[in-house]
Amino acid sequence: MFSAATDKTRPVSPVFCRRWDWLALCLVLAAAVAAFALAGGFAGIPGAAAEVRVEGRAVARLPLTQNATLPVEHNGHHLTVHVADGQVWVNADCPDRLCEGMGPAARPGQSIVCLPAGVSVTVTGAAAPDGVAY
Amino acid sequence: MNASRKTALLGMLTAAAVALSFLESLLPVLPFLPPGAKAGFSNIVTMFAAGFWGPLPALTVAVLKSGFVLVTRGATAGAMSLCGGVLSTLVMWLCLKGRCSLLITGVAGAMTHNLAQLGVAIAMTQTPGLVYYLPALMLFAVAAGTVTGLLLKAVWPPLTTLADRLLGPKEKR
Ligand SMILES: [Zn+2]
Repeated sequence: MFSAATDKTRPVSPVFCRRWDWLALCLVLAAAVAAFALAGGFAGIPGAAAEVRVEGRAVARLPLTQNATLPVEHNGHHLTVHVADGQVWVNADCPDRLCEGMGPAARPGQSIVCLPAGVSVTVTGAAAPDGVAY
Repeated sequence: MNASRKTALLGMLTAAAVALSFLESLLPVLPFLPPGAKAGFSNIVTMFAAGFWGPLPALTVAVLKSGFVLVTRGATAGAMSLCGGVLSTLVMWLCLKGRCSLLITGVAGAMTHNLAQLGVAIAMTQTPGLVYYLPALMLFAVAAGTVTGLLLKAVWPPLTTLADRLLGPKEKR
C-alpha cells in the first residue's frame, strides 16, 4: 500500500491538452448552454410564487406579487424567507449561511437551499392561488 | 524510515489541500449557483497525488481534507466535501490512468465534484428541482477544471522534484 507509482505508469511530464480536447469541451459547453436555454434561463420570465419546502415537504407558497416574511425552523436552525419586489431571499442562523448568498431569486426554476436546515425555496412559474399555507 | 517519509509527503499534500480549500472558502458565493458549487482548487493536490503516487494516497488526502472541513465548517460542509472529494479523486485517477490530458482530467474532476455536491444537496433537501442548476454547474466546471489543469501543469515539475526528494531513493520506496 502507498507504494509510489513506477516510472512506467507515472505520467512524468503530463500533457496539458491533446488534439481533440478542446472540441470535446466545446461540445460540453454547447450542450450546457442549450440545456440552460431550454430551461428558460435566458427568457427572463418573472416567477409567480416561491414554494417553501422542509425536507421536501411543502410548507408554504408565497406569491411574489405580495411582500411577505415567513419564519421557518428546522434541525435547530432558523430561517426567515423574505418576499419583496417580485424577489425572494432568506436570512438564516445556519452554520454556513450559503443560503443567504443564493438569493435573491426571481425566475422560475431558481432555488435557494439551506442544507443544514433542510429547507428549500423554489420559484415557480405557473400562476398560483394567493398565499396558500399548507 | 520509509513509512515516515511517506507520512511526511502525505502530510504536506494534505496541508496544501486544506490551505487551498480554506482559501476557496473565503471567495464569495457565486450567485445563481447552488451551495457547494466550488472551483475545487484542492483538486490540484489530489490530482497530483493520484497521478504521481496512486489512488490510495490521493483518496487519503481527500478524506483528511474533508475531516478538516467537517471540524471547521460543520457536518453539512463536511459531507459535501467528502462526497465531492472522494468521487472526483477516483474519476481523476481513472482519467490519468487512461492517459487523459490534464485539461480533460481537471474538467472531469471538477464536473464530478459539482455533480456529487448537487446530488447531496438534492438528497438533503428533497428538492429535485435543483437539477435546474446542472447546466450552469457544468459551464462552471469546464472553467474551473481548465484552471485546475493549467495550474497543475505549471506546478507539476517542482512538485514532482519535491515529492521525489521527500520519498527518498526510488529503490528504497
Ligand atoms: Zn443556510
